[in-house]
Amino acid sequence: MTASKVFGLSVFLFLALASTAFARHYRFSDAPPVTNADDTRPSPVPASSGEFKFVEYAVTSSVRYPLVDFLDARRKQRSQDVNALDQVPASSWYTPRLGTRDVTPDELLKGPEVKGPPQAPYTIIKAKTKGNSPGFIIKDSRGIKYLIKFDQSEYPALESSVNFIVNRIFWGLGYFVPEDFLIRFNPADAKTGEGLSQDDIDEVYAFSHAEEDGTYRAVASGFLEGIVLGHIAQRGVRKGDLNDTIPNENRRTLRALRMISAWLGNSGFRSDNTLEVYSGTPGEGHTLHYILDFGENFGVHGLEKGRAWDGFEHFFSWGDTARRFAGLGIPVKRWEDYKVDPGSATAHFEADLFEPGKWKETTQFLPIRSSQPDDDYWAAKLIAAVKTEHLEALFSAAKHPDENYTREVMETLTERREKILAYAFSRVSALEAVGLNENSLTFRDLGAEHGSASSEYRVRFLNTNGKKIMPNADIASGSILEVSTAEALKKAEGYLIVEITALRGGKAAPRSAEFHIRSDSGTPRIVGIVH
Amino acid sequence: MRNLPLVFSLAFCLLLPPHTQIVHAKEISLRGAELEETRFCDPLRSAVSGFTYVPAKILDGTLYLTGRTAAELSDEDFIRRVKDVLYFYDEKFMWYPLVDFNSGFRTSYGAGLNFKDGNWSIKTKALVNDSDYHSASAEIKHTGTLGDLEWDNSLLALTSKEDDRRFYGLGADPRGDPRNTFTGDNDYGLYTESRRKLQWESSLYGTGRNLGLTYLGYYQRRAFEDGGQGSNDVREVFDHSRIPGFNAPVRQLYNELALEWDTRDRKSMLSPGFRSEIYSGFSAGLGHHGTNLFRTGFDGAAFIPVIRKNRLLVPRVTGDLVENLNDNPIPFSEYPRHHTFRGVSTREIIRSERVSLVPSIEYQFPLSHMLGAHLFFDTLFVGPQAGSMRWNDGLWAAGVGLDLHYFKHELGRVELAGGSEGFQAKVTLGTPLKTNHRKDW
Repeated sequence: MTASKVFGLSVFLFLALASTAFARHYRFSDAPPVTNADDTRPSPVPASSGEFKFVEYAVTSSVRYPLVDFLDARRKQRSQDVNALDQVPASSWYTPRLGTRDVTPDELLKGPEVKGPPQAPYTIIKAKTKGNSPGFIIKDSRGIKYLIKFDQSEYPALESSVNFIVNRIFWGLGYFVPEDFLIRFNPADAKTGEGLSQDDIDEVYAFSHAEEDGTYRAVASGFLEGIVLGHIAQRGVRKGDLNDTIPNENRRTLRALRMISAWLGNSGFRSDNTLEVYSGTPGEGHTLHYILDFGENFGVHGLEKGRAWDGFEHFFSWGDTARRFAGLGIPVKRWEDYKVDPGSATAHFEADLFEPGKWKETTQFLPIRSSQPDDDYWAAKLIAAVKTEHLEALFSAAKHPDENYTREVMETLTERREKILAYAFSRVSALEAVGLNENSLTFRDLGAEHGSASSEYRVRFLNTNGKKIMPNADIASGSILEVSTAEALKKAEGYLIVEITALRGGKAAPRSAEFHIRSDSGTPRIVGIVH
Repeated sequence: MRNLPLVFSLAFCLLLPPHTQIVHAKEISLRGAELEETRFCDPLRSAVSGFTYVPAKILDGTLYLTGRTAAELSDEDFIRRVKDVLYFYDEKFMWYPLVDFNSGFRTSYGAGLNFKDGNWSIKTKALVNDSDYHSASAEIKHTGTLGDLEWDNSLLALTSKEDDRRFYGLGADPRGDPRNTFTGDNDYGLYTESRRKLQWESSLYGTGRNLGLTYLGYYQRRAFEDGGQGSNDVREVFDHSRIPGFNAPVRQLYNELALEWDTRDRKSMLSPGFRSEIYSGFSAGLGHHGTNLFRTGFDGAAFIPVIRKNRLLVPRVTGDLVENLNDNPIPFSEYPRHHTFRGVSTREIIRSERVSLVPSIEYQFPLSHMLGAHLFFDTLFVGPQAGSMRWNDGLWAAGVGLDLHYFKHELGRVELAGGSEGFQAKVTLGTPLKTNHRKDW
């Protein structure tokens, strides 16, 4: 063996040994979990990111980031906007609502409402004929600006209903959204502003669906107050924003959009469906991060584009392209045999072929592609909190004229939700602590409640260094799930890690749940949870 | 020195901390962790990333610039500015740059100028390269409808001087064919062709352009000279006095009728159906040694869906025949050019014989929304008669290609082929599928 081979082998062995030696668990500090990220402190006005350019976005998200990421063998990081209990604290990105407290259907219906819908008479200050939704920018009688989006003549009542419902769902899930309202827009209430011709106005009406009484069903979206900074970037932080310290690709609030968008059939989601606005007096304000433009959820994006692959394929993906090339196009994807009914508004929103793990947004969005099992789990818990009564209230308020449409979408949402929960809960040990005392830890298995039933649970007891301090314990599934921790707490010398792995059909869940318990200064308390 | 990569890897491993250890003060305060989690293999992963760190950065920078450039190119203001440059006179005129790159040959470059007003259009093109090559053409076209029928009429004038052309001799086995007298070791001789052409074309199409009848008539003058490459020239490789048509200009007056039938919904993307074309024409040789020729041929392809309707098996056969109608020999330039054989460059006259047959099979399949791939196997047989073609004299090429589509148009294509004539790599961008059509022989 030559000297160089010996050297190479030594390096390999060193790295292999180092790999195991460096593995280590979190150690959480003895402090209450952070419930507010405190990222609304005064900051100078950050730099604007300029207007959205689709071609650059498409090249960046479909070609550049995937290739560069492929060359980076390091693991994707865990989300950084998460507290010790694996929850997302309140921030300029997220307000805990559904899943953390009771939200009544009435509260959800009201949603982000502060100023309320526009008050007639209106002044039209701009006409919008580009894009899928024709519309106007108006000022109402109070001088408040709104974006009015009409339904396309081809799809009456569709986008307005979808926009309203999904706006409220996103609000309920905790995201910042604009004030969107369903209105009847009467042209008689609107006067033409300066610089606009009647031809401009008529062009918008020509693209829009008019009701028999001459009014137009529309969504009125309140303009966001503040200095518009641009869209949420896929990667990194906003320059000059002192509060923005976590790269966007590592934000759970953005990664969670994978499951949320999959559930809602939001395949058209891109950076330009977001907006960052500096709120407050320059130098004393802070940035707020909004999600907007909800009209293409429930498969409307695929419907309007006429794409059978919508939600199943990216516009371009290196991986899919390479796999198809290697397979000579012989493998057939399930969606390829899906018969799309061109006359149905729900043709592109279905639950039979839907597989949450394989759902894809049309143009890749890096945070969505960076999502980890614990992010999907958190998102699924939020989705589980959207109850049927919430949906019924929203659909009832949306007043879509076709009852069959409402029924079909409701059914599809329910079926997709169950698939989302089963998928997301199966990728982790979906365990939530419900009680802890000096003798035992009681927990609840969300997976068992949503289609990922566990036959038993394997428990490891580790000390602060991750070293096993007593034999494993097995717990049979049942209504009360309790781990005896008395002996382990004594041996753990103040810091105990209870690592529980759900076993489903004898097979361990891909990830364990860790409950970090401190007992070094008084009664035992959970100081950290890792999924 | 040989261990430098490993040393660098270790250095990167130490300098580049694993992701899980990159923590900001804010993050620690959110997560509440005194010690961050580190998982198995993180150092190994860091070491691997160390190797790819520099290439990844270079790639990232390059693709960032690509994205920015693409954004600028697609920016509406930029398009308007480009339009202001490219278009003029109420956008009725447009000029555009032209590049023709083919590995192993000189690159040509030039510009085109189009004029369009209603049903009338005029297209002009000019190309040059760094030697004597030049090509200029002008076409005036009028399109219209007649009930359910559509029709085109066009008049084209072309003058060119094309160098780098390769002649391999006559017959299926040029070395063994008594019509050739090789005087050098090369398999081919280089020559330059000067061409002038005046062409009239009238087409009548049925609804959806599925059925088309085309009349084609042209006058063409070709003159040849050595390629100016010394020992590779035709005169050095062959006894040029025995190459018919090489020593005096060849002038032909040609008239042809062609019938095309294409049942495919989309003509360029993956679409099942059937396409066929048959043609027959008469070419009158002008001048004292003019040769009268009869031409006929066919091109048939079936686009058969296999597995699913967007995976197509495409068996295709093209056949061409030229028949001498008087006693003068057929000029070497007037033999069929077997344009569908992908094993050679379009500038090579690889086989020259009265009958040419190109059976091929292609498998086309989609890769993504705009990208498709195809595998192909082409064969080429020539002979003095259809029945005299010999299997052993056949040429073959097998290869793979990628084609980029945008809606109904093919934007570009990359093809790699290997076979009896060696390796070929071709790249076309913005070139219509019919570039190598027999009308351009």
